Amino acid sequence: MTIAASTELICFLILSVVIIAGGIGIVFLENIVYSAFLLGGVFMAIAGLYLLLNASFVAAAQILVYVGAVNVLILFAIMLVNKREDPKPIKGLQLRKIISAGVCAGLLALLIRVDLTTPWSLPGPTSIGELATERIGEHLFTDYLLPFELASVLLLMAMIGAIVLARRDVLITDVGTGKEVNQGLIEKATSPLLIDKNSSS
Amino acid sequence: MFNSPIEQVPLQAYLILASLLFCIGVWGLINSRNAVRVLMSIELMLNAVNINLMAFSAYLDGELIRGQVFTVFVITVAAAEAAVGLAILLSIYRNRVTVDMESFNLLRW
Amino acid sequence: MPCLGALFINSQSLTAPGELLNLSLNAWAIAPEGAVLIAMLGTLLVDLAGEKAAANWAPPICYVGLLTALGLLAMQWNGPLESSFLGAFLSDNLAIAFRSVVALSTLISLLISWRYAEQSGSPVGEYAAILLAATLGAMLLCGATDLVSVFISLETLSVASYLLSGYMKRDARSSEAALKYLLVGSAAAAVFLYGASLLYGISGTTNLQAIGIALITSPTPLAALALVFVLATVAFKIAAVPFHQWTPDVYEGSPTPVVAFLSVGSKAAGFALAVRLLIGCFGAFDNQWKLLFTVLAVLSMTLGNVVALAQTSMKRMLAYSSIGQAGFVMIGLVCGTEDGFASMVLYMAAYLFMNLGAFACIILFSIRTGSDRISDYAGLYQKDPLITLGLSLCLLSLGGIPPMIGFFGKIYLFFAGWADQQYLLVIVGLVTSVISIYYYISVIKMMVVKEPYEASDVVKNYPSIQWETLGMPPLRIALVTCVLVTAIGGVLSNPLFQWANSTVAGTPLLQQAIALGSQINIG
Repeated sequence: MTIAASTELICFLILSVVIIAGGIGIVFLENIVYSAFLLGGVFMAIAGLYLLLNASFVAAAQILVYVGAVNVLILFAIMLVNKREDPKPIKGLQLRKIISAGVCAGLLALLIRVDLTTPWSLPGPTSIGELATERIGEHLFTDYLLPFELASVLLLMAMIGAIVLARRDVLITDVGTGKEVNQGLIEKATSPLLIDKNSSS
Repeated sequence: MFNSPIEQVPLQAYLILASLLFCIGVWGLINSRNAVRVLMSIELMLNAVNINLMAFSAYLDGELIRGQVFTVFVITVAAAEAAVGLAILLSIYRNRVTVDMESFNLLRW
Repeated sequence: MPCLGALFINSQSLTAPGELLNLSLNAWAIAPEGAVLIAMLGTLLVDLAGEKAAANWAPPICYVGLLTALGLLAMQWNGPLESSFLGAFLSDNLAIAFRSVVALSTLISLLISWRYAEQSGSPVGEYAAILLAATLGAMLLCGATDLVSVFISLETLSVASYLLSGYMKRDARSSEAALKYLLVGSAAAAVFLYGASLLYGISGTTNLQAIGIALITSPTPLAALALVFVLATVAFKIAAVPFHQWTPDVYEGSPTPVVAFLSVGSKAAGFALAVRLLIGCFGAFDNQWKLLFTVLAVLSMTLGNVVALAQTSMKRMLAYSSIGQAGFVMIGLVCGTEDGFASMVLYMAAYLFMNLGAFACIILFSIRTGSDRISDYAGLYQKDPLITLGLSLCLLSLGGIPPMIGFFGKIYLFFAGWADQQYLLVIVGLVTSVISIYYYISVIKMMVVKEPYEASDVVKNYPSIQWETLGMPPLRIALVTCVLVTAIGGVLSNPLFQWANSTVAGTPLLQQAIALGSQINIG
């Protein structure tokens, strides 16, 4: 075993342990802020895996977008809705957790079994290594041109939509009649909506 | 970083890692009571898929690396989804002053 | 077949991206989507000038864009069958038919949206822009032939739908619907991606046709797993039981015009995706997916129609009825014969008019009264004959009562199913149709038969009928058009039958599947 190879194996093992432990922490930790920071760690460990797979561009994108944008966004979400909540206990919750854990374990067993029993067509064509970034660029402007262009529409629409939903409108009127309205569904609620704005302050 | 062909770690190791992460994500999706944590679980599931795609790309499609391009697209969409998710979360928090999934039950019959 | 497959894979691996630069993109195929995109950008620009300008100028821009798109689609009919964008998109007749259904459903949804959006005080320009983006995603989804294009267009449609369902942001019900839709939808997308990654692992490519060829010789457990994952997402998109949990909640909480789009446009795109993935990709697993789809169809028809009986909210009732209707359409897909596919396309087109007509009526009622409870419709006949007549005709058509368009669609579906010996599906379909007629008729009875003194309080205080307010004339046009097509379209349905048949005839993918199916039957 060469030094490079054993380094690679050790790196993979460490990264996998970080990813799995982080994932379990995200799901189980009581404090959601810890979960969010763990999520950042998991994203970075996954970027490390991509480096092991000779994909430096995707690793950089993973760090920039997942850690730099998504994780920060999630932290923002936590800070903005930061209210200590003591969730009401619900009957049968424990049972539900155990049953769903069983279902997930079954799914996991199935997935791993399929992963292991399938004869993957190894070895494939040799890796192009550091040329990967160039190759991705070529793909984006040839056979993946359509999704690439559509992704720009998706991002534009997501940006506009997010702004519309998140901004506060000061005064709202019906453009047709000039009456003041409340940006709710036209169909009035049949049951009281339980909106207690006073407790938020 | 490692230009040598990847031989030491078998493809199956990556796939099993992805399966594990995916199942953790599924469990979190079903059982989290905080809406933000549900969003995080979905991100875990998407990352599991990305590991799968990257591993296939390196081991089976090393010449054309379509999997890497697919991963870039998934990352893009995940970012858009997270932004939209945050906006929706904010608007529901303004209306209901809670992010507990169990209390979102206005729409039941 | 294997010989052809080897040839295809060979040509795939030879063409490195650099060499592909010389090939033509054949971008004309997505000209209709271009028109929609330009309309979307125009709407956004007009919106910069303020709410008033948007309310005046966004509608005409959207109409022009969508009508241009429909015109361009008509020009592409029976056009050359060349794959465009180097295998990412194929504009065959099936894609054109479903894209037309999507564009038309957006057009009608927009016509019935303006008054609703204005009366709730929501920004109109952005609303139209997001709806057009959803249309763009749905239209591209109908013709996408590459996993990456499928994924991106699916997500464009989904993300736009989440935004639209949460558009009434001061209403807890709307936000809640959006959150539920977002969480369930993103999870479904992740599951789809897992299936897609397995498909990529099997075949080493993302092109659906190449994957289909690779699947013929691939190991079964892996392919079956990928099939289940992908099928779950398709079922989520068309809201088939048991992947329907989100539907009633989202339909009840979302703004009603958005529900109209989701129940027709989004569903049509889902069926187009089902055809592309199941027939184009999983052709080798014909029996397996047909069995799964039969189960889904039976469950959808039964549960959708039975639970609809118990609803008190009009929107919720239509939500469950749309689950049942999706079950009927799935009969055509399971058959896999020429008649089966044609009846699927025909029923989708008929469903477009009758369902949107019904939505136009309930939107008009809620604009005037602020209610969507079924009991509030009591005695409406005395006060508003137009809504009563329109809603009655559309509901009768949805139930499949003879002279309407829905009857012909449904009878064609059942005929195709019977001819293909899908007896279970047809019998369940017939029984649940009878159940559905019961709850549709009970709404009509509520409106028509009640004496004036039995009318609900809402109807007793019914406002005087006005059509002058901004946004009301388009609503009236949409209502009258849909009701007319629903009522007369059945009698004059011959062109529709021909259109549906030539859709199937002009789609090589479907022709292959039909030929394969008949071979098996003979052998």
